[in-house]
Amino acid sequence: MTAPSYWRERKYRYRLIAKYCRNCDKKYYPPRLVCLRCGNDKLEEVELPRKGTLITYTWVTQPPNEFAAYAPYAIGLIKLDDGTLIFAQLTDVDYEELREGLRVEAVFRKMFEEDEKGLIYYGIKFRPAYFESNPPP
Amino acid sequence: MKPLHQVSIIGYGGYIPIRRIKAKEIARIWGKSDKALPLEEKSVAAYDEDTATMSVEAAYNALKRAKISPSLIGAVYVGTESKIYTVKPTSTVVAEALGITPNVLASDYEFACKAGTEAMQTCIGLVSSGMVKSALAIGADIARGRPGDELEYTAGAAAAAFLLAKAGEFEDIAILEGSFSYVTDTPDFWRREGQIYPMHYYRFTGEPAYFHHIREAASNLMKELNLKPSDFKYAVFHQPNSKFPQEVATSLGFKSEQYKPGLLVPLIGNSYAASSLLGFAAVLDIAKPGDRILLASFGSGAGSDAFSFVVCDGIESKRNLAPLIMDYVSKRKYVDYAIYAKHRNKYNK
Amino acid sequence: MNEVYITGIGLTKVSEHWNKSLKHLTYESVQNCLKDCNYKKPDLIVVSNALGGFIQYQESLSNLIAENLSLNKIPNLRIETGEASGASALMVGYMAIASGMFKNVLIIGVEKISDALPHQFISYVSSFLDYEYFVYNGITPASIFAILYKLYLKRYNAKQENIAQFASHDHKMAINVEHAQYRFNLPVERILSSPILVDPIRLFESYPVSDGAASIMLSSKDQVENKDYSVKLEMISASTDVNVLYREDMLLFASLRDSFSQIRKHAKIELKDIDFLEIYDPYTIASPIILESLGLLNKGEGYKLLLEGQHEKDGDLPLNTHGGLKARGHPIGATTLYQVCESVLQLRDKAYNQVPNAYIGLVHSMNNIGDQSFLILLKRL
Repeated sequence: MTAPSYWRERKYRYRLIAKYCRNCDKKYYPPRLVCLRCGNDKLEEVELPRKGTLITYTWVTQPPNEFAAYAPYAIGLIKLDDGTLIFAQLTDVDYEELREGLRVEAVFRKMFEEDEKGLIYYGIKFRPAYFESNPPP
Repeated sequence: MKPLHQVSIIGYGGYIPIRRIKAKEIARIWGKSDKALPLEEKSVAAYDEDTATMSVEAAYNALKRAKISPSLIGAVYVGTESKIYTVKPTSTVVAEALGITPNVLASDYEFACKAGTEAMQTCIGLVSSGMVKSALAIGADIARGRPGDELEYTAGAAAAAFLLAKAGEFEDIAILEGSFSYVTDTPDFWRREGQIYPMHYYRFTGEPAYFHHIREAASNLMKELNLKPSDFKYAVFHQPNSKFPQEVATSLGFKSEQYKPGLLVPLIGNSYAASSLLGFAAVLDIAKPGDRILLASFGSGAGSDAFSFVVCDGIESKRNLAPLIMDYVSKRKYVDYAIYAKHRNKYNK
Repeated sequence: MNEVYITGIGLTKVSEHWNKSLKHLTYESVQNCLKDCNYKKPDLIVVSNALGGFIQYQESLSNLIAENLSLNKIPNLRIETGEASGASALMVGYMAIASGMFKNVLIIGVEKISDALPHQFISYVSSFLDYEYFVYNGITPASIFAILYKLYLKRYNAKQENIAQFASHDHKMAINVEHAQYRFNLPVERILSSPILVDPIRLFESYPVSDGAASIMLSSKDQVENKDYSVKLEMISASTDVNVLYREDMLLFASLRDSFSQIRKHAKIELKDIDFLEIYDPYTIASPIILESLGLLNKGEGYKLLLEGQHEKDGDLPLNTHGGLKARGHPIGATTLYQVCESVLQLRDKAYNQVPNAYIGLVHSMNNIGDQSFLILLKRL
């Protein structure tokens, strides 16, 4: 990750901002340049809802280099409250607590660091939603 | 000190990390007795949390209560002694993450545990002068406890954020009556560049530092505003441990029902720049319109900022727009020393 | 368009070749191939390599290889489409001959994964996805396959032992294959008790770390000397699919379905006409989805191919007869070329697990999670 590359995408990563095609009423995250369905390239920026439901998840024990110091961690397929599907890393959750249907919410967290001299990279992860009731295990 | 135009709090919020470690567990590692420990337990920030991430969540809650567009915020100041970079402000990351950039002032404040209230004083000046419409003051810290040192029991983590504006422009939560700041060069606690853990001078941090500065700030504030302790419903002080805030409150003439509601340190530890602000937020969570609240911070080095706020009607409708401090306090997961050390990366240093 | 033929093949063993560099491996493979085609002189070199830039810090690889092997004064290209690099290199070679621009094209696939540290390799292979939003979040191709695995097991009420069976089959096939990386039996119980890689994918359900090089000589019709030894590269089709998140059905590789439609339409081939199949399954869960996407079996029933022996060498549709990615190995840029070379052996009656009356073979290659699929149709002359 280079500083300029990190800086270019910060808005989308910090605030979960997606690209929206008005013709198709479809949101894209990661943000796209062109609508998949109609080819519209005048996509608008829209903030995604910060809460959703965990469709399914996995537990990564073999991480890429960037996350070598932080494994193991969970990756989830999440359906946000507006129906948008996204992949995201999960945090503040142990393996035993994960289950399908878990309510989750977006939080701003550190993703990884270059090293002691380099930049700190931030982004959005999801944690079990506070203050909402969850389906029984 | 009174601003020319009245200033109020229009939004507030806090954040406490979910993990906790019991003081008994830390004592176990170092072979110390678990009697006479400075508190019950403290909060532990996860490996993927830092001052920026905690500030964002606290500020997010403050913005939810404020109900204004981020574009109306003209300044973001994070008061901390655990900046994310030594050079490059935490506030820029926080401002970006909340959509407040680019028409904004931003900087990090440092004055040990009173950095957050220093930021608050500046915000008061900025909004009162009309330079900005609203200003965000945040106190946040992930305190570093040297392994085996007595501060390791209390070095906690949390963030508290306050959004201020000219009184009457937006829905007011609490109006500022006045403030008083008392600062001297007192070397009770410091950290040199390149050092990971701070140095402290044990009992010297007590009477000549903590007690003297808070007493001076608070009593001078009350004198200036012609108020006495019984005029206040609540009194919130900086909380380095369970004993100090109770002692200073009593010595100033406050009773336990006034200072107990804001006393969070037994359960979450000393969150340094967030400490007194978090206690203040906890009190706002239960206060009624018309209640008068004293807030007195303390920062080593040393100084104290004392404020008097009066709660407004706006608190009733705004309070429940974001999680309460006690909601965060009661959400907890205990970890042992090994997991604590892993999250705080204590074995690499 | 001119017809395209495979006139020579050359393989190295697939292994962790500590002592052999990219140059060594290519040399060995190309020597075998040139010998096999009676020393034809190529007029174009196409190299397939996906991660040489990251792992060996070597870019402009086709240049280096051509120079080292003294294949001078002819153009050389390096083609990269992630895991399917071999198929696209073959496609370029096909176009070169079909257009009439070239007569003999040497396709070389080479990769050395063993030089990389495990975490680095995972970063590099994850770079095939959108780095800025996948690796950035710690999401790897394996984690997406793991999520598909869970969705599959839940939707079809399937059992993991049925899926793991595909890896067991691959190993059985590789036992007598000289160039295969792993030549031992791997029963399903051992697979299911191996450590979890990315829940629920077990270590032995995933492809190994492999080095290898495979070369193929493509020639125009007038260059074909030995009819019994040459094989017709009938057709290569390819299609793509959108990001997994936007698919109508996550458990279907539309890229493969569409690729196969092209084959059926233009080559007039149906599944029943195919005598053996090579599929590209980096993880066992890919196998049933691939078979279902081809239309061979109904959704949720992909594993049934293994139940009645149809996948064995004398069954209805022999599958991965030389061990597939799991047992023969997966030197990424070279893998598809290994698949094609092994298919050529089948069509020459020289295979290790010979399919009787092998006349038409189909090779599948894909990138990421079926983001792009290639199908290569081969015919005996």
